[in-house]
Amino acid sequence: MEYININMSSEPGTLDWNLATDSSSFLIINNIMGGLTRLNNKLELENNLAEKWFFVEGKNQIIFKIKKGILWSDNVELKSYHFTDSWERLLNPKTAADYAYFLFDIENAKKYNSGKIKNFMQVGVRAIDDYTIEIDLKTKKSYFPSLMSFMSTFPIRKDLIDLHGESWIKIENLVTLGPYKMIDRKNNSYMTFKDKLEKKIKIIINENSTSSLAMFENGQLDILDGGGIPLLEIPYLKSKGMINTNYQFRNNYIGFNVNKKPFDDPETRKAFMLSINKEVFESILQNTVNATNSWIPKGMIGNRKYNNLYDPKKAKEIIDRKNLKKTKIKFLFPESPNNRLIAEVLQSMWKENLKINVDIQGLEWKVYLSALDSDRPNMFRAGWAADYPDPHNFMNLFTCKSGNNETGWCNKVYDELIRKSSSEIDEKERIKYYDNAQEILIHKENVIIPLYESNQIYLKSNRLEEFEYSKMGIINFSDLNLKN
Amino acid sequence: MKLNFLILKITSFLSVVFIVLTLTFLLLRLLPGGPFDKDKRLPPQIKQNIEKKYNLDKPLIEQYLKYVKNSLKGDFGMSYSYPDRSVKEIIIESAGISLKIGLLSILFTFISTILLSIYLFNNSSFISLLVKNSLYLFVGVPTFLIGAILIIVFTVKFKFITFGLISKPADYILPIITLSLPSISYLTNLLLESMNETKSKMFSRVARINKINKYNYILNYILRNSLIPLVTALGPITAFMITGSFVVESIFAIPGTGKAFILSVINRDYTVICGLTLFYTVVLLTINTLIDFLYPILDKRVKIDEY
Repeated sequence: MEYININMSSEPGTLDWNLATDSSSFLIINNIMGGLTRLNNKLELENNLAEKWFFVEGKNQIIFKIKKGILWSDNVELKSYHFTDSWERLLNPKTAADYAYFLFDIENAKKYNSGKIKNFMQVGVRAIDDYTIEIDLKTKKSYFPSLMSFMSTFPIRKDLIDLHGESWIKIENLVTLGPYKMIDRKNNSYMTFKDKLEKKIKIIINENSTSSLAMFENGQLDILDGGGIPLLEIPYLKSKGMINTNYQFRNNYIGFNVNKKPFDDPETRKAFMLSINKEVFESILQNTVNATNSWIPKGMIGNRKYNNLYDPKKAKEIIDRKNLKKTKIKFLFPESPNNRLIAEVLQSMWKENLKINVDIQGLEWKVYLSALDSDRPNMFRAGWAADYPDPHNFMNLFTCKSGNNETGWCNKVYDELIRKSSSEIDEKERIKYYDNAQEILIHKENVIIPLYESNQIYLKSNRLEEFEYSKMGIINFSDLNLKN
Repeated sequence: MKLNFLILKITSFLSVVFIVLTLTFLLLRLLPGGPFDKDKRLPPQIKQNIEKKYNLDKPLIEQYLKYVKNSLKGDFGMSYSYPDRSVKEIIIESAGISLKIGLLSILFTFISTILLSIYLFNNSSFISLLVKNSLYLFVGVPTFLIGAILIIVFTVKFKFITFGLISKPADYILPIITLSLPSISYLTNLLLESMNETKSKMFSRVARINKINKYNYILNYILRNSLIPLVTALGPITAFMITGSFVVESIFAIPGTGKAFILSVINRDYTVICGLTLFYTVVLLTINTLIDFLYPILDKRVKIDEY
């Protein structure tokens, strides 16, 4: 069979799923491995390696039963301790895994990760028998099963890691259990995969979008993801009807530094929000984004429908009441052609509607991140892509203790609503909590301005049948088929 | 005297390596943003675990001494961005392809320069004037533009060659041309100038009066005596090839050291940056040292003890 060739715009950091963090690694790992649960194309969480799972009544406990007869690629059967071994490794301070905190809802997990507890037996995770895992949570967490769809929590083969050390992940030693097996790999160049039906996939790694597009036009690629499409080419490709779009759990916002003048005043923040016409971004970004007023993205429970709140007159009225003429306002964004364009449009909207000059400054990515910490500006542009398909992943961002909350905003009522909704299982109740929380975050306190949700855009060759990117931004190789 | 020269060369070689080693280490720490600053912020305790794993929790001087000690042993540690790969592995994997492209480009540059110069020397035909003038153009045009034009013309429009990833010999053609064109233009101008200078010297005038065969005259009298500037330029040209490879490898999707270097800087992958910087330093210094030894062989008037 012929290869289906897919462009990847960055080399995966590592395929060690306990350690991997980037989206390229996530795409590969999801095809060669699997978790207890997974998100299906209808946005529902379904069982994958788990037969079933349930919360134990009256206790903060969740039990996963795993399917029998699932085999690793070396024909060893999947057992429950493969999961507990993985979680031990993920939480072990020596592993130093970024995503260890994903399991901090488990009893004593955080203490084990910080070295306060040395014995993993004290952490609330047990393999009761070969097919049952019992987990003690600190409090009931309704999103916990969706964490099990994320790569960091996938099972591992400790016996092989002990045997091969760091090179367990090298292609000659790698043992996996997903639908695809990696056949060949050349770092920074390509990777090939095969499934049981001999369907063959080739991932071609290339950071340069101009040459990626040339390779696509030359017939060397079947799928070209958004990272491989140069911004300036989008209008042309669009006019040819070549651009495909799938929406994603990926949101963009403007954050205010609520501890610095003039945005310590919620009304001023509101005026800045009202003076932005978000629909403009849809057109300047060639309809690759959708304007939004909701921090929870479309497709998740708690998402709010978009309505245009643009009201420059009211915004100006508010600003006229404040004395902002001499205030210097700085707006920071991570430098990229797209981000600069948006910053310039925002600057002109504020100038025109509020008669306020805002300084815009674009910084290289890592410099931008350190500037947010050391010299936080009045306003900044940021985004968030879901790690796991639950609104908690988005809403938790603006709680007081969240490390990703760059606004300096801290609201006990908001935090309480987020806590309550995370331990609530009834969907209707959860929606109510999230609704109230979003009302505070966006409309009463105006801490952030949700701008737009970004879609995954991609080009697809004619020899490939239709397929969709998952909402988490990945491709399931199983969905790809060549036309006959 | 020769021994003194050798000792002098070796000590200056080693001190440059040491200075580069130290400066890279220090400057990286001054750069805002660290290797573990990511878009999704890490809880402090997790950051602590990571810093401990990579010894970044130790005082700077301790980190530095360990780094120097390990570097001298050729051990640059593990990459921060690719935690299952060592820096040595990354250099070995990527250097082969980059050195191949670099050396082939240098070879191609020198051969083309000499052939072009022979053709253009004392030639005032229309075509030669056209070629001469377009040479000035290529000195100024940046490699990324040349690369993009070559891709559009040869792969997209006429589909002569596929490109990217370097999987077959033909994939080398476009990158080598892209990398060599500016150097060819620059060196041809240089060589022509030097040839014209030689032409005006007494011995060549004598040769001309004696009506020696044209090619014998150009090759043995003019060219041979005009090559010194070309050898001198070998050092800067190598440096140019290295910096040029950053762009060319990126345009043509070649998994070489240039691409690895750019990525490591973006990711603040300290260990990889240090390893690759040292690698480039050693390559450049070696070539420059070789040139110093090459001079006296080419031109008997240059003696090593004159240094």
